[in-house]
Amino acid sequence: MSVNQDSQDNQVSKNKLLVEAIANGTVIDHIAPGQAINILRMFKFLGKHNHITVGFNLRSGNLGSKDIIKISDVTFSPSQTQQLAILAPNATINLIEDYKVVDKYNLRLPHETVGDFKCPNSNCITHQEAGATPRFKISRDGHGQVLMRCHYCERVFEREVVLKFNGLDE
Amino acid sequence: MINPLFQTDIISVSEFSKEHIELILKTAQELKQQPRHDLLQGKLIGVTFFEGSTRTRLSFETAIHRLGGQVIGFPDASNTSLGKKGETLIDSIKIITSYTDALVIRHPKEGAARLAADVASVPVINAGDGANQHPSQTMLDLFTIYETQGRLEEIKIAFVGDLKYGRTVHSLAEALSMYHAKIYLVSPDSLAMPQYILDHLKEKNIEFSVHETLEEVIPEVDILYMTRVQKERFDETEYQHLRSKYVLTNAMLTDAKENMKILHPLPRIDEITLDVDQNPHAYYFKQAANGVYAREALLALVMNKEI
Repeated sequence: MSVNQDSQDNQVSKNKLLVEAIANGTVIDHIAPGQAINILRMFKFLGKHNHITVGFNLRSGNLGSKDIIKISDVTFSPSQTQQLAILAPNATINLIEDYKVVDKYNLRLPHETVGDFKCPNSNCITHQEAGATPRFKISRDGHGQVLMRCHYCERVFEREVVLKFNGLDE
Repeated sequence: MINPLFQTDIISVSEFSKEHIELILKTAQELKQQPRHDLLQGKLIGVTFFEGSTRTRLSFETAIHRLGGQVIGFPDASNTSLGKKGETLIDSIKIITSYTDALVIRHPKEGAARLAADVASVPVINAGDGANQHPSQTMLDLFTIYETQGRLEEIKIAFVGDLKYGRTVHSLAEALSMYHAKIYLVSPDSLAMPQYILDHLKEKNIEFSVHETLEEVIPEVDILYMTRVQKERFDETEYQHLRSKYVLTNAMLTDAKENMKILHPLPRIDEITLDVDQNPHAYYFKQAANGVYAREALLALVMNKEI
C-alpha cells in the first residue's frame, strides 16, 4: 500500500518546517530523545553527502518526546537494521519512494549483535585477537533494561555502558 | 545411552544443568573409589597453559595419566610461538588441536577458552580464563561439598575474603544457586561480592546475608570457604588491619558445627593459620586432592560415549 508520507506521519506533518519531506530514502521515527546523534555517528552518515534532516526532542504521543532522522537515498540492510535496533529499539522505519511511504515497520531488539560493538571489558580476548569478532547476546531484564552479554568473556553490560565505551554516549 | 557431555566443550559453569553436575560428581566419586586406566587409552590431550598455574596443570596432567592418556603441552607461553613470535591464539589453537584429541587451556584473557572452543576441531576444557571461569575448580568444590556433607541441597556456606575478584566464589555461588544454598558473605567493603552476582542470587531466590566478622558465621555454616585477600590491592596499613579481620585461627573454631568443613582454593598465604591444619574441620588439602578426580570425571565424560 502506498500512503502519502505526511499523512502517514502526523508528527512530520505538524513539524513540516522543522523536518521536511524527502523524495527517496528512509525516515527513522520514534527514536528515543538523544539517540539520533548516536545513530548518525554509528552509521557515519555525517561524513557522507546524503541529504539529512534531524529533529531532536519533537513532541510524540507515545514517548512524550522523540528524535527523528530523514536521510535521502539510504536504505538499511537487515544487519544494519539490527544495529539500529540496539540504539533505538522502539523506532519505526519508513521507506520512502517518490515522497510516498512504501513500507513501514517497527524495529525489534535483535537476539544477538556481531561485529558492531567492542567489548567494554579491557581484559576480554577480543581486544587481543583480531580474529575474535565481538559478539553480544541481547536481552532485557525485569525492568526493561537492555543487557548485552559478551560471547567471549561472559560479562553482562547495560546497553548504555557498551554504547559509551564505543563512543556512542547518550 | 550416550552421556550428554560426550565431545562437548567445558567452558563455563553457566552452561551446566543440574543433571550435568550430578553426572560429573557421580563419575568423580566412582573414579575415586575405583580407578580406571582405560578411559583415555590411546588419547593424546593438549595441556596448554598460556599463564602458569602449578596446581591446576599438574592435577589435569595427573588425571590424564591416571586415565591412561598421554599429554603434550607447555606450562607457560614464554617459550611458544605465540609468546616469542607473536602468533595469534587462533592459529596456535588450530595447530595444537590438529595434533590432539582434546585441549585443556588456561589463558590470562577472559574469553580465550571460548575462542579456542570456537576454532578447535576437538573438545576444549577451560582451565581458567582470566577472572572469568574455572569450571573444573567449581566441580572439585562441589564434589568436596558433596563428599563432606552428603548433599548439595540447602548447604549453608560462608564465602570469606576477596569476593570481588575471586572467580572461584562467583562460579561456586552460581552453581549452588541451583541447590537452594544459604550464603553468608564476609569481606571488606572494597572486596564485596559484585552486584551482578547478588542480582543473580536474588533472581534465583537465594537467601544471602552480609557479615562483618568470621566469628558471626562460623557456628552457622556447613562450609567455610576461605579465600586470599591479596596484599597488592591495599596499602600496608590497611592490609594489616584487614588481614587481622579475615584470618582464621584454630581458636575461632570451637563453636563450629560438627559437620563443618573449611575449604580454600589454595594457595593459602596466611589467611588460615598453620594450627588449623590439624583441626578435623580443615579439608582444604583433601579438596585440592579431589581436583584430580573432578578433572578425571570431566575428561572421561568428554572423551567417552559411555562410562
